[in-house]
Amino acid sequence: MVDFSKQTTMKGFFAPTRFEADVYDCEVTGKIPTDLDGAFVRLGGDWLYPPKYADDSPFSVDGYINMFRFKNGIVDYKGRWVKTPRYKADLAAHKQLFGKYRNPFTDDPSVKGLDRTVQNTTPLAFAGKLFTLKEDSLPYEIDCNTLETIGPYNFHGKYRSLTFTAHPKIDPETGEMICYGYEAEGLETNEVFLYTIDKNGNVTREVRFKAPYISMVHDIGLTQKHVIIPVFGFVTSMERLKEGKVHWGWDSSKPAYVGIIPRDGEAKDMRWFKGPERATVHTLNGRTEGDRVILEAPIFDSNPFPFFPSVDGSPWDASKARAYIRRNTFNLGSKDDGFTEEKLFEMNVSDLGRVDDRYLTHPYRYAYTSYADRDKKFDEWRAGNLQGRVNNCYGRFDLATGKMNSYFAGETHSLQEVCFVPRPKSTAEGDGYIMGVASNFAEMRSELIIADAQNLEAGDIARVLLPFRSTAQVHGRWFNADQLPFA
Amino acid sequence: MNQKPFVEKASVLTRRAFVKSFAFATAVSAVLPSVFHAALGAVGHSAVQARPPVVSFYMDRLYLDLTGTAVPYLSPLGMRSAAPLAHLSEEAFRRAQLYV
Repeated sequence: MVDFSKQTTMKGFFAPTRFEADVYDCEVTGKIPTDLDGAFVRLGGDWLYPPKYADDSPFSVDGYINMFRFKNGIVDYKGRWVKTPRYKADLAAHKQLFGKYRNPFTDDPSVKGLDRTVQNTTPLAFAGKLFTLKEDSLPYEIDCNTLETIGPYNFHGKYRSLTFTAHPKIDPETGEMICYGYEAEGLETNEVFLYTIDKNGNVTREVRFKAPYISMVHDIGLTQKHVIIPVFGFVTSMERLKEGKVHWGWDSSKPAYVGIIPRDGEAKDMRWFKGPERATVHTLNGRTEGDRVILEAPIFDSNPFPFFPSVDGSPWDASKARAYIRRNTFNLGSKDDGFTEEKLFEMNVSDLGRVDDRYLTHPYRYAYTSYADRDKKFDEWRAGNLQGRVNNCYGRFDLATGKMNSYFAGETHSLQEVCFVPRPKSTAEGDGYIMGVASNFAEMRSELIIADAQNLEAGDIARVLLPFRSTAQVHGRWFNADQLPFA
Repeated sequence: MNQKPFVEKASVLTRRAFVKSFAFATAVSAVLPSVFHAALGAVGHSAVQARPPVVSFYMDRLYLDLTGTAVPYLSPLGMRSAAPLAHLSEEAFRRAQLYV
């Protein structure tokens, strides 16, 4: 029988939910825009069984996909586990069989060789299919109407990396997807396979290269001409896995590398730039301007993840685990392997930043992300004291003027990743909605927020109220009805 | 069996009666501690300290503890569901909940 009583951090709002759900015609405050036809799909995790090790990473949590389906001003909700081989094995055994994050040496011997992925990071709609993504395995195809798991997908056998990023980029001009897998040939291999897949799901290019060292390559930047590949600080080895450690450790002596390769280039065309200790986990956007390649991203000074400890034993430093929106500029016309860095805003923000995806690879103006505004009231009496640690605001950051517009979720709320949803038939950047799920700690429920992206201070246009806590997401994406075969 | 049902007893408590009893109770609560303290002083019982009365409200009803030893009841207006993790250090909190 399952027992979470010893999981001291899985209490209150943060306790596992452990159920699948359908809510038809959800309760709504305000009015759902009737021009929204599609779905806001979220992917995150919920522990089916408690982790085998207390010091494991939260990234080991079992994947859970959920969807707010919008049509004719009505919203339906559906939530399902991603039914991976790991989920099925655990359920059959009635216990957690899998050990630490990406370390099969810590597993129960009965699951040796089984796919360990938990599929808990990013939803993707591409070539008419819905996928879950987790960077340690292939994508998993999901039925977009039932959210039931179909299984791993390798693009007609032409995608040969054993892993697939959680952050592929889709070129808004061509519809093609630029994606990659690192540790592409298996655990502790240094190969990265970079792919172009056309809008129909056919692999059209494969480039194989080695990174400066085996590291987490969680996200990339894309321009019309180049792919930008950040490599930073996290290290791994077969030795540390055999010692029973989590996959990654942080090595502050490692420089941050950024690889830049032409989209039509080969491995020999890759150029590596080198900078000081940084962590670029997620990116905003990239562009090529003549000889200059520019990447903007919320970048940390150092290790953002305390559950991936320093390899030298030094303590995790919370003061360096703050992300700031920065601009990195790489001069391809220079022989220098350095690059410049500018901090565009002095306030620290969540690194889960987004842009208007129609402007991906192009010059753009607005970045969106969440942040904690400690000047806004947090009602500790009703919500419980979180000591100002919640992200209670969404911000629209104007990269042209340095101005920031803000949406405040409420005195008992925290906000998960923001998503920009273009207004149907609009073309102007930023014309649309922001959407994201808030945790209401006073009412013990999740609320989907919809606000006018051009008038954030006005507050909600509508709010979808779930009568329970929906699982915490990592990433959420909006998919229009024409992207997936919705019923 | 000459007892009247409880409901009938309760029904005689009108709003006016309640307000009157509230005012009386308030006055008593203000006066009693000093009387009690003076009485104790008169007998030289210095070890006992007088405490102010504890006043609580529940469902708009007054609850008065003249001994001053009660813990006042404060009704929760929210589920305080973030509270179980509030005591954690920043590192311990982020180990468990990275994307709150």
